[in-house]
Order: sequence, then C-alpha cells, then structure tokens
Amino acid sequence: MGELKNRYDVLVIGGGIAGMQASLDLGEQGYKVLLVEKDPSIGGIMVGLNKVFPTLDCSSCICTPRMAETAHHRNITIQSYTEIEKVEKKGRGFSVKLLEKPRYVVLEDCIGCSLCEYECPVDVPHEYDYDLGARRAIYIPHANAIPQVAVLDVEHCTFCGKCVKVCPTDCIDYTQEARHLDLEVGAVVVASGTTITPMGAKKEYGGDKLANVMNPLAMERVQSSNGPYGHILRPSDGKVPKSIAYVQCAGSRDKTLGISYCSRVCCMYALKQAILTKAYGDVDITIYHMDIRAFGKGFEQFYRRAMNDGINIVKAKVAKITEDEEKNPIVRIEMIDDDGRVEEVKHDLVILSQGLVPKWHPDGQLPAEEDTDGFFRIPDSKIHPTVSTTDGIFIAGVAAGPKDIPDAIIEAGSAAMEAAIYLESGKGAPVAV
Amino acid sequence: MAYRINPALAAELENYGAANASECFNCGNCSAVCSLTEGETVFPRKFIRYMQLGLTDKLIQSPDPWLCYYCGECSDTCPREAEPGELMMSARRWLTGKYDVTGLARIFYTSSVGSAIILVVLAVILGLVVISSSGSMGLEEIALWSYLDSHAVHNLGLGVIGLVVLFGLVGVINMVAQIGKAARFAPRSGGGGSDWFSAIFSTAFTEILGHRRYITCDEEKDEPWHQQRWFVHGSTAWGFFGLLIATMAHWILDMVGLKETATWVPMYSLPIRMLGIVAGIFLVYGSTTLLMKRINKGPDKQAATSAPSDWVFLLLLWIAGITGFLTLIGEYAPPMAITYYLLLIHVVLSMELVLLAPFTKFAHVFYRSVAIYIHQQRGATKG
Amino acid sequence: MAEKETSPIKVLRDRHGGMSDKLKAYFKDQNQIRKKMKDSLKGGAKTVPEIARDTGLESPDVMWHVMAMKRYGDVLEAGRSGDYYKYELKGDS
Repeated sequence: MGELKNRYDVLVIGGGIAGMQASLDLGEQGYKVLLVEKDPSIGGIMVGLNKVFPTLDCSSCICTPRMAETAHHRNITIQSYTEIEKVEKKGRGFSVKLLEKPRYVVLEDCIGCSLCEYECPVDVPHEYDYDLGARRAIYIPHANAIPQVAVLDVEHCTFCGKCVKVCPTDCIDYTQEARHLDLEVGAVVVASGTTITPMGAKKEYGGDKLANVMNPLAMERVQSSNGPYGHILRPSDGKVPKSIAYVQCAGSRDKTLGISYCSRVCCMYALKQAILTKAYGDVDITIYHMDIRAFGKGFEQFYRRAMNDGINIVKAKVAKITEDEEKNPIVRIEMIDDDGRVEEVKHDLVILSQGLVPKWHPDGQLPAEEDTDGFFRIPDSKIHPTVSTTDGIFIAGVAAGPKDIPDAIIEAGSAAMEAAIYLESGKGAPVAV
Repeated sequence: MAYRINPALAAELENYGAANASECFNCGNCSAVCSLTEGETVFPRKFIRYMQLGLTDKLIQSPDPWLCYYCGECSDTCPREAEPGELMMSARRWLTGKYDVTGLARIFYTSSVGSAIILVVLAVILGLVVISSSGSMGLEEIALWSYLDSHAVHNLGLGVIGLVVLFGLVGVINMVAQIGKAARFAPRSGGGGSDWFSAIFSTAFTEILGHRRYITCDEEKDEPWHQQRWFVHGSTAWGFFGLLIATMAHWILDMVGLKETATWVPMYSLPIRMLGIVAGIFLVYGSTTLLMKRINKGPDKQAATSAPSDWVFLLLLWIAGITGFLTLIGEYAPPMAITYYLLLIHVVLSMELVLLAPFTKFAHVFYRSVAIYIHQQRGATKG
Repeated sequence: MAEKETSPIKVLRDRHGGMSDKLKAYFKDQNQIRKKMKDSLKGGAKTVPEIARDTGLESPDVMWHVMAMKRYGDVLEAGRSGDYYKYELKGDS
C-alpha cells in the first residue's frame, strides 16, 4: 500500500466497488491514486451482499479479489478509516485535507489474529450486520475486511486493558490520536456511494419500531452463510419464517417521502432474495409491488423464473404495516388484481424494499453541486455521465444516482478515463489536429 | 356489459376539483389506507381508474363516492400526490351536477360569476315578494310581524318547500335510477344486508344523526373533540335539523290556531323556543368553524379547496343563523330599525338557502342519505 | 513491567473521561442478561422464546444475545424444535 506522500495524481473518495474500480483503472495506467475510505475496511456495500442478480454469483467472491487487487496495487495507496475534511480547487488541481481517525491499533503491525476481539468483554451491535449480530469493542471489521486489522471502538471501551495483554505483536496503541493530513492531487473521483432510505421514514410502516420488519441489506446478511444467524431466522425470536413478504417501493417512488425517483435495484434484489430463500426452505414468499421493473440484461428472465419458482407477485401498494401480539407483521393492501377488496395479511417477516439515497452530502467540503434529488449533479448526463459541475471532479457509481453493480463499475471506468484525460490535457501535451 | 368510453371524463372532472386523475398510477395505497373500506365497498382507487378510463357509467352508477367523508389520509399518503381524496370530492360534485336536471348545480360547482348572479337575482326576487306585503316598522316597540306578513312568509315558505321537494325528488330519482342500472344494486338475500326498515332506521339515526361513518373516518386524528370534523359537521347538521323542527312546530301551532307567530311565548311552547335557541347555537358554531376552516384552507385536507357551491351553502347557512340570533336580540333590546332589516335578511336568505338546497353543496343531505341507505340495505359484504 | 502496560490505557481513559454513564448502564445490563440466560440454559438446550419465557426477558433481546454468545463461542446450536433452533451452553462456559 505504500507510505503516504503529499502529492497524488488522483484522489478517489470511497472504497466501494466503484471507487476500487476507478482506482484500479487509473493505477493500471500508471497514475498514482490515493483511495480514501471512511470505514475501517474497503469493500463498501457489495462485500456484505449475499449474491448478485441476476446471475446469483456470490457477491463477496467477486468483490474480495477486487479488494485484494486494489490493496496490493503498486500505484494505489489506501487510506482507510479516514474522512474528507475539505477538497478545494487549487489551479487545475486540488488541495485536500483529510482526517485519519485513530484505530488504536498500529496498522502495519496487526496480523488480524482476533485474539483481542475474543478477549474483549463488551458486545456491541455490529454495523456490518445492520445491528443483528454482535462485534466487540475491539474487532476485526469482518472476515473479508481489507486491511485485515483490528479497530477499537472507544465509545464502547471499558478501559479494562485486556486486549493489550493478549496481543501477540504489541500493536495496540491506546495513545493514538486523530491525524490531519494535507496533500495535493491532480483530479478527484467521487464514489461516495449510497445508503438505504431510513427504516423509519414512512410512519405507516411502523416507524422502525416493528421487530420483524426488516431492512433489505440486513436480509442480505441474514441470507449470507457468514451472516449473524447462520440461518434465515427472524429477528424477534429466531423463528424460521414460513411466510415472508417484500414491500416494494417502501422508500422510493413516493413523493410523500420526497423521493420520487425509482431506485432501480429493489425489484431485482427482492426477486433475488425471494428465489434464494425459497431455494433453501419451505416458505411462502409474496412480493407486493406497484409494478415490477426488470429492465436489464437477463432481468426479465429472472423475474419469470421467480414466478415459476412459486413466488407470489401481488400488485398492491402496502398502505400500512402493524403487528399482532406475537410480533407477526400484518400488511394492509387492496387486492387490485383480484376483486379489489381490502385485506390484512399476516406474515412472519416483512422486508421493506427501501430505496437508495446518497450517502455523502459534501456540504461545502467538496466543490461539486448536488442535484435536487440529493445525488451529485451531472450537467451533461448523456455525453459525459461522470463529469460533475466542477472541472477535475468526476462522479462514479451511485453517488451520481441509483444504479446496480455492473452499471456502477462501468461508470467507474468512465470516471477514471475522464480523470486521465483531465490530467493529460493539463500537461499541455500537443494535440494532433 | 358494454360501457361507453368518455375520453373527456377526466378533464370534465378537473372542473369540479383541484386534482388530476392522470397523476395516479393505481397502486391501491389509497383504498388500503382508508378506514371506511369494508367488504366490496372499496374506494378511492377504483373510481380514479374509472375517471382515467372515461367510464362515466361506472362512476354514475355507484353510490360509493357518497360513502367517503374526505379525512384526507389517502391524499396524505399517496405516493404520487394524486390527491385521491380531492378526486372523490370532485366525483361527488360532478355527480350532484349529473343528478340535477336544471343545470344550476353545475353552475354552482364550476362558475363563481354564475353563482353570484343566481344568488343576487334570487335574493332580490324573494326580497320583493316578501316586501310586497310588508307593513310598517314600529319604533315604539319592536313588532316584527306587523312589519312582515307572517301568512305571506308562511305561504312563500310552503312554495319554497314544495319546489325543494320537487327538485330534490327529481335528483334522488335520477340517482337511484342510475344506481339501479348497475346489477350490484339489487339487495342480496343473505348477503349481510338489512331489511328496509332497519336500513332506514340505521341510516337516519346511526349515520345521519350519529355520524358513525364520519367518526370512523376521523379515528386517526388527534384534534380536540370540538375541532374534529365530525363534531363540527354534526353541530351544523344538528343545529339545522333542530331549527327545522322548531320552525315547523311553531308553524303547526299557528295553523291549528293555538298560537300566532311572534305572539308572547306561552308555557307549552317554551320547549320549542328553547330547542330553537340551542339548535341556533349549534348551527352558528358549526357553520362559523366550517367557514373559518375553508378561509384558512385547513387544517383539514378537505378545507383546502372550495367550490363556489361550498361558499354559497355555508355563507347562506351562516348568515341565516347569525341574523336569526341578532333578530332575537333586537326583539328584547331597545327598538331599532335595523332589527326589521335583520329580520328581512333572515327571512329572505333562509328561504334562499332552502330553495337552493338541491343545487348547492346542501344537496349532499339527500344524496349521501340515499347512498347510505342503499349501502345499508345491500350489505357491505358480497352475497 | 505491569506499570508500563497499564499506563497507556489510563491515558486513553483520561482522554475520554472514563466510561460514560450510558456505557456503564449498557455493560451492567449486558452482564445481567447474560447471567440470566446462562442460568436458564443450565437447565438444558432451549429455543429463544423458551429462554425469554424462562428469564422474563424480551425475546428480541434474547435473540440478539444468543447470537452474540454463539458468535463468540458461549453457546452452540443444538438441533431444532419445530420452527425454532435450540441453543445450549458450551461445555466450559
């Protein structure tokens, strides 16, 4: 990964699949890349997913090789657990201020043995498993994390000092402090990614208070063999669900939430999760939808396959979700395709197909404009789909708008190429006419 | 059954309200969120679909639009902000226009200028009729009924009621005939419906007087009781019915020769007078609150958009109530000429209010009652 | 030597003003819940609802703690009873 220098050709913000791809595409061309990731590990959302649609390939099996490749690339430096404080235009390039948060673990010395984690007495809800599983106050972010290095969550530390006693390499350093880093770059690729609509956004859906109304990303973890439960169970009491419902457009295409756009991935991830759950167990699965949008290569076939597998596809916008005393969620719908009666249907588990919203709003930290939907504004989206409102800043992946993994990767390549062109044109090289 | 498509239906309905049916993409959220859906009585989505498809017959042949009380929850939660509640309101306005044979209802719902002209012209005519037989304004003491001729007023009232009954009946017959064309109107045996007597009973008492559906409609609201829509509406309705009964009772006393209008109140007619005063208070409270809500365009979703018809109805109701009270006060206050004018206004506008009932928002009294009766009789569940 | 090992943790503790009240309560809660659950599981393998009934704890909390204990080797999955998996204490805990 190399020593941090004070000058890079390109700063890539975000170490998800788009940021890694942009870094690799630039690094392969010989540009020196600094990849900044705010979490302790790169990999983004993709490394935590179970499978990808419509091929049902293992998501982390695709993502981890990319992570390793990025980490070992001679032209890429990863600066993990680091936030962007300020990116300012300076001439054609940019001056960058970063804040590296303290891990309390010396990155170069930690061998990722997990002894400290096993010794730590505090169990904390694990962000990686969307709080369904546990981690310790000192922990390796997850099995596929890169760097495979522990991090101490000082907010949950009881200061017992047990971890330092078991560490075989003496790499725990309680005296670490946050570091401010100043450097200069020639261009910036923003791949700050996405998060899902907050679970409590729609009060009719229980306002994030119902135990068995789940986040779709949490369901990815539950379905994963290295997930928090090891089986598909529901969170309230560990029951193997016999009846699962997906509520489509729970967090997008809804003007009352201020999110009128389609998030483009929810229909497909719901179908994917339904097919996979159905494959492993005797379970009824219903997808309540306004319409199924299966618009990509192989997507329509995937949709048909789901129907052939016996997934119930029901046209109805769920109006309300409540629960009974056993915490079984109850959805209230109009049976539009039947006789139009209104029904309350009980399930064991409900997954809200939440939409995609931007994860990072720079708020003056970066001179690129946001669009009305909160994603970065792309002024010339047809011809230059990755060029932001500021020369030298390029946007890749979901930071520019909702999209699936292949589209994010394509855009990352495009953003890398735009950045390369920007760097080359700045050198004043002769242009053949 | 074949249906004739009217491509202009959605555009036509737009004249009757502030919403555009084409915004809707038929997700069914509105019907599922509605607290009044039961059995096969499900709205609004189905009706918005009819509007989009131009299915005039489907729309006109259903009593269901009258079963909606516009709590606005469907509009608040509609993912398209298509305002399903307002579309249902538009349907009721449009239906009132369709049931009415004179065309007046359509004018009241769609034209402010037309409404104003009718209102003024009719007031002048009624005023002239009343004044033509008027006497003197005594200022030594207030003698209201030596100014207006009580018999002339009674006779005019009779005429007005006759007209209202006639046009009201025509409207209701039109409505029932249209609904009768739909097969599902037929009462079902064993379908959960009621016999005609209990249907009338529950319509009159549980629904019209008791406001059961109105209360159900607003069960999710947490405003103080006196600001809740069902109470404000109920207050207005109870006040109106109370005054109607009190007026009728006085008139009957007059006809049977027991007591002439405006003579001193004997003991046995005191309850009637008290009923009139209490009902008047309810009416003024209700109609004032309703007007204020419409002026403030809230907090109720329903108050946000008003047709001329809503204003005509509410203003007449409010002025009738207020002038009634002021006249009463004038009777006991030191004699003033204005008391006579207040009486004149009260009599004329009360007449106008009643005479216009079949053509304004007031008409919902007939149509909603009939719809509820049909709904009670056919039963909510499928036979 | 012992002196040298404990002093950096003091630095950390002082810098963060010691454990917050919220964390103290959280940690105490965790230890109490774990004790109740372990006592319950000493009576044999149980499902999450069974542990919840036995201990009076809320079942979503029991679920979370069972999974945490499973992850760090305090309990093991021990077969299935109807729609629920059963969990038992690991021999040495």
